Amino acid sequence: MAQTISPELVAARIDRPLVEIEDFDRVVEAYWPRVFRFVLASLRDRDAAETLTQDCFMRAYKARKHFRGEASVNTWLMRIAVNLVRDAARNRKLQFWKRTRSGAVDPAEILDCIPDQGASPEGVALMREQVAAVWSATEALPERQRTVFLLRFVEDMDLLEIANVTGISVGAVKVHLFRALHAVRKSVGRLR
Amino acid sequence: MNLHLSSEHIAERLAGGGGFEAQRHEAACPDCRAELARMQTALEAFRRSVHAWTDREADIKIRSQSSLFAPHRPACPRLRWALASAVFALVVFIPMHKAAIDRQREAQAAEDALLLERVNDHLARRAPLAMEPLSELQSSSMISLQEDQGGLP
Repeated sequence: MAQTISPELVAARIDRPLVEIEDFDRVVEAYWPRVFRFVLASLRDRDAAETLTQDCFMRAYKARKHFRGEASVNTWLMRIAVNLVRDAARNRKLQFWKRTRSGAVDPAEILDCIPDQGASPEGVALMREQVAAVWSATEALPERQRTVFLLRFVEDMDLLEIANVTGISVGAVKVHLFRALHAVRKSVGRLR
Repeated sequence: MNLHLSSEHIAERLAGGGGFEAQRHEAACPDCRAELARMQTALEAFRRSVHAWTDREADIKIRSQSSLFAPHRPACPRLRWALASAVFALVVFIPMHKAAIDRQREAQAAEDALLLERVNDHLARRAPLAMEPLSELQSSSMISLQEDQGGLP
C-alpha cells in the first residue's frame, strides 16, 4: 500500500530547521558537543577548540536571521566550524614559531578512552596501537584531507553531506578521502 | 589482472562505496577481506575513542561554564576592571570638578562686583578721603551762615 504524505507534514519537514533555529539555546545544547568534537579532533588543542566552538555558535547566532533552512542545522553549523578550522589552521601555519600550545592534547588521553568492550588484554593493546596509528596519521594529513576524513569517520557523514559542509564537489571529497585513507592505511599497516 | 583490491578500491569500500566487482572480490579473497576488516576495526575504534574523549572534554567545558554564551576568557580581567574604574571615576568626578570650578567663578565674580562697587563709591566722592572732615565742616558752616543772614526764604 502506497503511503501518502500530507502537505502539512511536508511543510513541517521543510520548515523544521527554521523552527529548530528559533530556540537557539536548544540548538547550542544539542549541537555544542558535536561541533566541539570536530574542532577538537581537528586542532587537537583544547583552548583553541573551546574558543572556535564558541565563535562558531556566536557566528551562527548573528547569522540566524539569514538561515533559510535549505540545509539542516547540523550541516549549517558544521560548515561554519569547517571554515573556522581552516582559518585557524592557516593562521597556525603562519605562526609556526608558536608551536608550544598550552592546551595541546596528549594522545595518551585518547588512548585511555578506548572502550574495551570486554576484549582480551592483547586485543585492547592491539586496539590502542591501531588508534594511536590512526591518530598520528590524521595529525600529519593536510588540513582538507583531515577535515574530510574526520567528517566521514568520526561524524559519520556521507559524501554528499561532506561536500555540502566543505563546499567542494563530491568528486573532490572522494579524492581527499582516498588520499587520507591511503595515508592512514600505511600508518596502520606498519603495525603488522 | 590484479590479485587483490587496489588501494583505491579498498578506500572506496571503507568509505562505504565500491562497485560490484570489488564486493565480489572481497567475498572471494580472504586477504582483502582481512585487510578491510582490520581497517574497519581500527577506524571504528578511532571513532569510538574520539567520541568518548571529546564527550568527556565537552562535558567538562560545559560544566565549567556558567553560561554557554559567557564571554570566553577575557584577555585580562584586571585591565578590564581598571578601565571600568577609570571610566566610572571620569563619569563621577568630571561633573563634580566642573561644579566646583563654577562655584569658584561665581565667588570671584561676586568679589569683583563688590570691589567695583567700592571703586565707584570712591570715585563718586567730591573730595579725597583725607579731606572729607573738612568738607563736612565747610558745609555745616555754610548752613549756619545762611541762618544768621536771615534764614531761608
